[in-house]
Amino acid sequence: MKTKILASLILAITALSLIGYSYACWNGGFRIDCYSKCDLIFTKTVAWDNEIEKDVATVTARITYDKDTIKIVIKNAYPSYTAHINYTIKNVGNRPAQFTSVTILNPNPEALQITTTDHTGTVLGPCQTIKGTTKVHILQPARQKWQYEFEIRISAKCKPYAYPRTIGFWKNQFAPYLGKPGKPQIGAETLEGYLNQISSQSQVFEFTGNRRQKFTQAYDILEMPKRPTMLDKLKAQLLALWLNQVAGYAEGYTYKGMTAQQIIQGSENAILNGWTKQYEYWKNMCEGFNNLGG
Amino acid sequence: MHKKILTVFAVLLLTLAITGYAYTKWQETLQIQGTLNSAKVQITLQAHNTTLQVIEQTTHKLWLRGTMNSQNKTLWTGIIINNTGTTPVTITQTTQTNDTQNRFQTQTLYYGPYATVPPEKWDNSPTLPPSGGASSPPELPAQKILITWQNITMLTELIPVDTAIEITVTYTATFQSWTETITIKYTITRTIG
Repeated sequence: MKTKILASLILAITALSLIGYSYACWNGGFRIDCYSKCDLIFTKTVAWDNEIEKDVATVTARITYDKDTIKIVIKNAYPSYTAHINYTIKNVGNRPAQFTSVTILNPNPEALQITTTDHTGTVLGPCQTIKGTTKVHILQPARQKWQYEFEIRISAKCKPYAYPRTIGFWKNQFAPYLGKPGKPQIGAETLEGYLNQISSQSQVFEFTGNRRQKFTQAYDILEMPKRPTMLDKLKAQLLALWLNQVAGYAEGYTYKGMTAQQIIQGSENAILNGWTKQYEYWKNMCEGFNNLGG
Repeated sequence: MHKKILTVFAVLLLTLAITGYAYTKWQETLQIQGTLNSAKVQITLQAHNTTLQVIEQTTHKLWLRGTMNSQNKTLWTGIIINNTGTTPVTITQTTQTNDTQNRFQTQTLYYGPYATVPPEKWDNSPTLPPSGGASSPPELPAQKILITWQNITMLTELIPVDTAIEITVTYTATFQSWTETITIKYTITRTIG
């Protein structure tokens, strides 16, 4: 009887701990070392205006202590005055976050015209930053000696699953099916489907034979020879990028302004044309993209 | 016994569900909050200096009445325009009259802008108009004043007795599309004599 009560008590404590832990993570949790946390903050803001000769109006912008809000104060504004506010958002979590919406709350559209960068759909990997600009333009019907308020909400959600995986991840998916140690997270059929898809779309890779043979070919490319050339390294990273692409892990991500598709295209062109001087550049691009998941 | 096991499992299940839900529902909203205070374009009539009779006076209007019975007589009126707004303004002046025969001539001279009234340009001026006046108004910064001296001269042809001539001088301050005006209205008559 006592054992049962003890077991129930332990379970209840565990339950409460888990609830508290998950709640802390949900609310940013940057003071708690959560296994998976998502957290975006403002890191920088700069404001300026369109006044050249006369300095009549002023604009200031500052990030609040919690780094979740930028406070803009515009004083002595008048029709045709335009304030610009640049900002930088950083993902300080360890999971990618995807921007889901940007909402501008402007109760006085007849007096203020507010535009802002729409990041919707963009995925921000851990430690990555993104820049945006908000523009506040005063229209002719604006009233004198009046106070206007506005708000912009930039929402993002945690993107725990679909993010680019590294070359090591993909190698570990094939390894167990070839009798090597490890526990795959992706089923053999799905993996084979990925390789078939790559074979049909790529001009560099073609996987033939039975499943085991295809897996061996893919694994060897990812594993690279003991003394790999730059081409070997490029091919390994390119295959990992292809796998991310066909698995849907590259969706919404960009690296140095380029999508996975664009990097694949550039890399394959370099290989097909034998532009050896470009190999390292494209290897780095593929690698940078594959490492976006952190 | 079964009930207890069931309860334990239910608690465990609920916990895991809440944990998973909290994780998947993570959403963060960054905010940009703005407060904007608009400027004010405002000029006011701070003071006047005239020998004419004051009929009405507000911060934006001055109505003066006087008589002119001889040719080439000149009446001087000084006013101080104060930029009480928060922006610099450009001043323009327009004059309207019902004297269709152009028997009057007007002229305005501008002094400033000043932070305080210089007596030698105002009530301690040795001559009228004071020296150093400009024929066109300067830009008037916020919280600064502008002194204007205006004369009205009746030329050679006299107006008929008991006839009232009205001359309205409007000073308009402009900044961007916002404006503000001050009006000085003169009513000039001629009496028998």
